[in-house]
Amino acid sequence: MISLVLETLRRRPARALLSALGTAVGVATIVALLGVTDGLKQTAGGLVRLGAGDIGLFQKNVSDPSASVLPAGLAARLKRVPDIADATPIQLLIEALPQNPAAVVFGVEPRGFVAQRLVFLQGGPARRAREVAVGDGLAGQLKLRPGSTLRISRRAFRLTGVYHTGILFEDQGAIVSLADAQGITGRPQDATTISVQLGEGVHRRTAEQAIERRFPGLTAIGTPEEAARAGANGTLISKAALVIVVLALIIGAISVANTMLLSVVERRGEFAVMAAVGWSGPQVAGVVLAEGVAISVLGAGIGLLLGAVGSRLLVHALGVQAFVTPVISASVLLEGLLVGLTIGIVGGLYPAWRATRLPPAPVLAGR
Amino acid sequence: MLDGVSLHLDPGEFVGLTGSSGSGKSTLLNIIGGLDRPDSGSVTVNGLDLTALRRPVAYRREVVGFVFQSHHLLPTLSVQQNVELPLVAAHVHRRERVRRARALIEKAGLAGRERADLAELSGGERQRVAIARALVHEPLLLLADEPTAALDEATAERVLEILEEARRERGMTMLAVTYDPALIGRTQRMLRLQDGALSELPAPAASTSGGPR
Repeated sequence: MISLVLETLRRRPARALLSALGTAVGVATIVALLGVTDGLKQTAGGLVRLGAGDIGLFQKNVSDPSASVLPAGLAARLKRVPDIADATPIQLLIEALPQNPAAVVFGVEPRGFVAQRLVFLQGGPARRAREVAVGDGLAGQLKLRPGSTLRISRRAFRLTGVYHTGILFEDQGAIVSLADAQGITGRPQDATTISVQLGEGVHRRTAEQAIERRFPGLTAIGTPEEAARAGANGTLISKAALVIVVLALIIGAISVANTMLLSVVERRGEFAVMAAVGWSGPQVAGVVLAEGVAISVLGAGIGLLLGAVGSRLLVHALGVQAFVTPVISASVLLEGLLVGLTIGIVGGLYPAWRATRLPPAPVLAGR
Repeated sequence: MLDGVSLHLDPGEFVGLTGSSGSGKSTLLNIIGGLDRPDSGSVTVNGLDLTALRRPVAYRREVVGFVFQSHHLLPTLSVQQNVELPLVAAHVHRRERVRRARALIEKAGLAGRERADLAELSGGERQRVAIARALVHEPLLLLADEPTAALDEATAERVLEILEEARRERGMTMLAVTYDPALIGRTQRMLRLQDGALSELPAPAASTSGGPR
């Protein structure tokens, strides 16, 4: 039966390819979306790991972690909690660099562990007011080097050094003193987040729960998954992705069903002959379903390729490559493939049933 | 269309059927072949009451073979794949399918054309493929609707030899709608359908009975 299905597809390549393209578009959409969503999760995870902290603390129930507002003095109180080895406030400045609006500027305490852990490729840390250190990614983009002047929110900063941390946000951004960042926001007592270093041997999840109990207005984030869930925007993106996946599935299945149904109508004589020579209903249905699945597997293959390439093009087209790098993992590809197969099976069910209901005698008589 | 038709075929018998256009010949074949159901009455083949079956799939797969008026081959499949169709339905092992199909293709004078597209075949060659398909699962009963129509004399003769050989070797019963004198000459008796009623033609009339297409 498999050879029969493949032979039929081989001899009708144009129809097979056009049908496969319907599935490919659905699968490509899904792969691109899942890849970008995973990339966003990874980016969100970078927020947690600012300054290589174990936990990031944010204001509870904000639309996005970057919109969080916390009293900077909270860091001192946190340091007194037994499980916490160190804590330091960070102020995020979004769209503060006119040369690269996607870059994030971090205001950190010069003596805090975030500033102390920076590894410099050129020059050294920003120790005084109106000094800035930049990540190697940003330095490369804007062709900056120690001694250059960088304008942050219309204020001139002298560049002291270029660092590399391996955290996308930091390497694509810049670091100034917390006081300078607070001055730019006009909120001298506030910070966006507090990065926490846990004591040795402390269980992360247990510490997170203890902090949230002790400081009810805080959300403790320790993993990329928690970071993605923490902000309403992240949740919204995940839900939107899910809705689009379901829509792609439905549209893909309808497309395959339509093509297969046309195929059944066009080939009703063939199915009538098969019934006349002893093919059972399930056997005839199996041929139609197998054709649908074969077309969908072909479409899924094309879709996986389109999705992987398309997600990168999409990120570049939107100019958000500093924030998001699509993650096309094996699980994303597997999900795309599964969606493609589901499209083939679901889309083929009704045409398969129709093929089994054809009465052989009138069809063979041309009625 | 058919009214009060009563027909008995003995095992191994070769019976011809004639009648005017629209007299119900194809309907009678379809009913006997399990492709259609009578409004009333019964059809028993080899002890099996077809009218008691909801879908006589196994009967069509194992007992009966069809040669249609227009050969009804699957255009996307090769000669070999078309002939194998009934064996695929019966889940016959691939090696055995190939062996049996090739043997019949050779008998039909199409050796070496197993992989050919149907588009490459003449009308007579296609009809021989259709006959090979009808015989490949070794049916007890062969129903043929004008199997030699539109064939040249030599091809028709070859087709008749294949059918006759299958009947002789396996005791296959044959019922064929025909106006072809060559085929009529080989039948053991001829029947005529007229206004839905079946009658037997006397032997001399059989060989001269023509009819409309």
